Amino acid sequence: MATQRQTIIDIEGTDVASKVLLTLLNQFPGLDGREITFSTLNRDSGISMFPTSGAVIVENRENVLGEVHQVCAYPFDIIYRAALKTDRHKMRVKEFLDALGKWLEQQPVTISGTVYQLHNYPEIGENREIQRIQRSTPAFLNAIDQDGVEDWMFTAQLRYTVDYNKFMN
Amino acid sequence: MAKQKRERGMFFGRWKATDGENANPWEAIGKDNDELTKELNPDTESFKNVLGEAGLVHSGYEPEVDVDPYYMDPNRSMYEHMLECALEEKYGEEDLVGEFAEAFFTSADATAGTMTGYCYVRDAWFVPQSTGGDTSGYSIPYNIKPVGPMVKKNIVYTLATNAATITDITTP
Repeated sequence: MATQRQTIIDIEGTDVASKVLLTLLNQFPGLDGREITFSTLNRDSGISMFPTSGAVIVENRENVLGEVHQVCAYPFDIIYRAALKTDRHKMRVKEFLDALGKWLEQQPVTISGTVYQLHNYPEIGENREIQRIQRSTPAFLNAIDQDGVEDWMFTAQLRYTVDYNKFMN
Repeated sequence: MAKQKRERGMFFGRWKATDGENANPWEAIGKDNDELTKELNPDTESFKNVLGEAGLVHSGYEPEVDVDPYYMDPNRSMYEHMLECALEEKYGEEDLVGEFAEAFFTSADATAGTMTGYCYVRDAWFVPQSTGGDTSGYSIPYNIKPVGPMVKKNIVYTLATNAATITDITTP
């Protein structure tokens, strides 16, 4: 009988990652006055970050000195909701999301003729360090409601490491 | 009584000082290893006498420790000389013999972040086995062969810095 693998969540890391990621998202140079919220969208507009699950511990290594090294993955969605009338508007939303995704991946992005690049990820607290943010999908149309309000989104994952010492008692 | 945690026993190594005065800092061995064992390799021979009685001759041990992997990290005190010996394929005693300490910690101070106990210090050959490795990192695994007499000493280990302070036992 196959053994079910238990998913272990870094609960403290989840809280920290949510706050740090939201602050980082709102530093995107292409926002142009808009704000990215946390898990909140208006009925017909808004841009929001939705965590998919908590920060899952995907790797856990311990050496003989009692030092523990973990790699955690924090998956999230960015959803852009708007009532888009023309395909040009839809294209702009998709381009905005793709640019945001590229910027999070530390790739250079051109916005209004200027090249921007995220060189360093922010600090994420004691013993934790962001390794990378990577998209799992490009921007795509996720839903249309009966009033024509559309949800465009992409999914991504923030990976960070945790290092600590299992103290001997 | 519960079994002892693995981090109660640790190995430390350092190269001998070349200037005769300043000792090199001790390096806690095992940062890259989830398993590290000192093989005792007992030299024993069983026999049976004409009366049918079993016996054993124990001629001692030939201890050794295989440190694999050992990733090259300039922050480690043994790094520079180990790299030099491996790349230049040095094999002389003056190049490869350092000091080895096997510690057993008897207490811990959570506030200070230290562990205290005793250790046995003696000379040892630190012999590089290979260079390179896979994409995890540049590795020079090595073999430790302790030699000569051992001396019991006190040890204080600081977890945050992996630093060990080994001092003589003073009788009151």
